[in-house]
Amino acid sequence: MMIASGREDGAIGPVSEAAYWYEKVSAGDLSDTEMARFEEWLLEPGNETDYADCARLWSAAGVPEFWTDSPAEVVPVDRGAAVSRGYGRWVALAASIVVLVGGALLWPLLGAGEHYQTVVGEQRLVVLADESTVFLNTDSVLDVSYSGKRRQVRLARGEAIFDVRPDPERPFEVQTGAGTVRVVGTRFALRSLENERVRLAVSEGRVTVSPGDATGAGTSPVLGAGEVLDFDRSGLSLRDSGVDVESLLQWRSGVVSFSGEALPAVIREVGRYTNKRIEFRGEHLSDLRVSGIFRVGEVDAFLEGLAAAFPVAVVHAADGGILITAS
Amino acid sequence: MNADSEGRAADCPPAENPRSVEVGEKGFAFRLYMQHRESMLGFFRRVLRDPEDVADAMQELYLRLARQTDLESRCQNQKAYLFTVATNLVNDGLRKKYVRSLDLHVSLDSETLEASGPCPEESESLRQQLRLVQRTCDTLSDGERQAFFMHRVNRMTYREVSAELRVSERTVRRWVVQALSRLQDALGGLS
Repeated sequence: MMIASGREDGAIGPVSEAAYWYEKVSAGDLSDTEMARFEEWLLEPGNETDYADCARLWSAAGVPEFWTDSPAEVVPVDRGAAVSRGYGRWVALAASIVVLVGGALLWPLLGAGEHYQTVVGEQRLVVLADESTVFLNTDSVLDVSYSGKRRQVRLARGEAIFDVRPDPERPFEVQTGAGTVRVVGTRFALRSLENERVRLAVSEGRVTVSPGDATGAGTSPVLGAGEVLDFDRSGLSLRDSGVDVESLLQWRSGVVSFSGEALPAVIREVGRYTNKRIEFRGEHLSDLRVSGIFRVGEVDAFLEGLAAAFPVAVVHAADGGILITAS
Repeated sequence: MNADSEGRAADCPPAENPRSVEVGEKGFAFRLYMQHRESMLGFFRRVLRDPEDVADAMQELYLRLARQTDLESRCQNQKAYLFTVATNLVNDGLRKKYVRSLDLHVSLDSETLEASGPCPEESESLRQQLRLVQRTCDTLSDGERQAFFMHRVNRMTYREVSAELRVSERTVRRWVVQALSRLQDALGGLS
């Protein structure tokens, strides 16, 4: 499939449609009509792959090593001066192609014994070998261990949303300090609470929980969508159904929204996303209810908004800490 | 509230702040992301290969969608839109990582090849691919090579390249597309 292009100033021949679209998209000047044509083109079989190859080459060509192993020699100064030819120019390109193929072949082997971690304020999506995904929230630690028979992960700290690929042959298990959660195919969230407790929220599918060691305190009934459960090593502590689970998963979009939560709870929640120590002094303000949006990474902006909307003052202490008091 | 998952979206209370719904789990960004997840995974895997980079890119893609105001109205052509966002992401966000991964793999001896592929036939076909790509790339014209190099490596705008080479911007762009197209032909004709 080629797009013919005309001649101007120099010899211009036909170019591939993928290259045509890639350059256009990179230049950022697609009109609405062109977007519609691009969409149509992408829907034809094979074109997504061609487009990805162009992206790969475009990126590869963006580093000097693609052209030569001594880039200083090749920066063209005069019109007509050719980029130097020679064997070295192709070394990196050759390697990039090896990696392209090798990477694709190695993909199914990856996934055993991996470790993922987010720092305070960071969120990240982890795609596991079976294409189950785990969305890690701030300050979280996840270890992954896949074998032929089971898919085991361990949430050592923090909070995560799991989108699990159904596979009856290989159960998916999440170990936590408080017990193990077993899954067939589902979406659910886990959050480490204080005192070694863990909160489980099920968004889709079915899940069971074994508090403590897998053999210990027995297994919970099967939980379904909309159910939220707190548990620790000694057993299940709180079960609630009909909860708006989606609101518990909302952080994955980089936004935490509050609708009428008490001020101290809101400050605690926002405090999870910053390394700065936030101290709240104002017992008599504890009944204030907060509604609003916190964008992850924008702690200062959120606190400014808080000070504008409520009778509180936000003081930045010399040691980097933040003090919130009545104003 | 109804615990049934199908009923939940309809049952959810009107949000106090409508933006929170738009960017939230139930929002358009999330549906869009989930609907095209396979395609985008395929794209990033082919471009970046490293599973960590792929995961980073997927998250960044999702965050860019979630943060985009008027997403629904910008998104008449969903796949085209997603590939546009993904292209920008690859072109600007992951450049440093990319350079790192390239550096790690510049050695090209037979051991490397055999370690990357599962069988000798694979390695042999890789070697054939390399030779063919090298031959193809030697056929780039000076104009194509210079325009492509200045734009991609020196990060010169089309206008700057055009002034440097004293040809029109249109020609510069065509040279660039042409160079990319040749390289892609060499790759694509082989796989």
